[in-house]
Amino acid sequence: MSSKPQTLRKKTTIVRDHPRRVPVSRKNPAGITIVDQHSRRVRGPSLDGAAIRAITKTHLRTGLTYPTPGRLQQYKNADKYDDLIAVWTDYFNKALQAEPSLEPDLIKALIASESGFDAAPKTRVALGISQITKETLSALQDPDGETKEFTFKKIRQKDLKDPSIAIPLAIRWLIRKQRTAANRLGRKPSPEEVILEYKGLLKSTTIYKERALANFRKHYAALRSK
Amino acid sequence: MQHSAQNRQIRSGFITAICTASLLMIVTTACATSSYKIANRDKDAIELEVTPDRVKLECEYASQKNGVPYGFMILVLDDQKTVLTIAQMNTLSKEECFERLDTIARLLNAGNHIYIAGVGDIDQVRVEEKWQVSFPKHGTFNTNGRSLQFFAIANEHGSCFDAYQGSTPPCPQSGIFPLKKGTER
Repeated sequence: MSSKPQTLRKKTTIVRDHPRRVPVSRKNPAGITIVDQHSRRVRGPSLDGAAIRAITKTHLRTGLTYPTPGRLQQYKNADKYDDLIAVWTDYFNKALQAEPSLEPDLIKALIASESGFDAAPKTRVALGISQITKETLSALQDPDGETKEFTFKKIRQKDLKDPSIAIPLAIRWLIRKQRTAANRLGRKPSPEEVILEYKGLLKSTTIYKERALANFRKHYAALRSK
Repeated sequence: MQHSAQNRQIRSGFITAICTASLLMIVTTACATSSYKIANRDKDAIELEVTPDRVKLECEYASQKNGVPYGFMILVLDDQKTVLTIAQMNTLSKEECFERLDTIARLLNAGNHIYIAGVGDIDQVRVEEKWQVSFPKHGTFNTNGRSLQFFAIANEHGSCFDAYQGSTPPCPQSGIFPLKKGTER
């Protein structure tokens, strides 16, 4: 059994002329008016926790690209989440037609820097293995927000301590950040620029940004080396 | 009158001698005890052993990420008088960052031997960067382009702080860092 990514419906649809009940008036003595043809915005798909877990379980593994194992041995659980990363990178690359596609190694390098693969670091504002902030969680669940083309629903802050929930959300957010980085730079961003945008450091000129960048490069190079 | 003038002279001479001796002792002690060394290493996993006078803590406002704009860094003066950066790679809220800074400052104040665990390339060629850091007992020095990802810090009395789990045992969480002296306590 396999689960196909939910392909996105068109953002808008055309509603044909149709009758609508209105209060009886001199203009509408029958209490009915004809609404002209108009366009209507259609909301994108939305996943809750149960749907996320079902997809993780049933997603077709054949031909999946997995992150490189055995390269980040300094972290206790470095390879523990490879399957989740592979499934959800594939899922969102297809569902959101990410251009360019995100690589599983990019996600793995990001998680290494955000939490060192600790599923529930003791932080209060950014939560879980991928350090999603409360504001980001709200944005990811806002049907009219910046990720409205594909949202989540009924995900609570405490759910972010579960990597099987936090990793899909992080990948969805990273695809959003890939687009915002492209807009800010006026060109396709490099993998490291996408990571900097996720971390809010793209335009920073601080020593901390340099250190974050060096750290990411090191992890990413270790994962990508043959 | 003569006696009291003599007494004053003796007393002031005595005080000067004490001051000079104390100053010499302070200078000698500070110079003699300040140290930096790599205590353990396993590939990129590095454990430094340093004295607290070589350590500076910083919360830098760096990120536009909602609610977590601060980057926490430990700056260490190395044996070549250049500054190595050990950085927490997830950004923190202002409160979280300064709480962390205070907790680690207490750990530094309570110890004479500080063990810092991090991951990165400690052998990277040093480059003189534009950023400068002041260490009260040593002076102001430039960062050297080297950086480690912060994992844990401990002192010889057993106080320990893990980058992701704070003071919750086991500290450090990652088994690859013995924080040797700390775990022998």
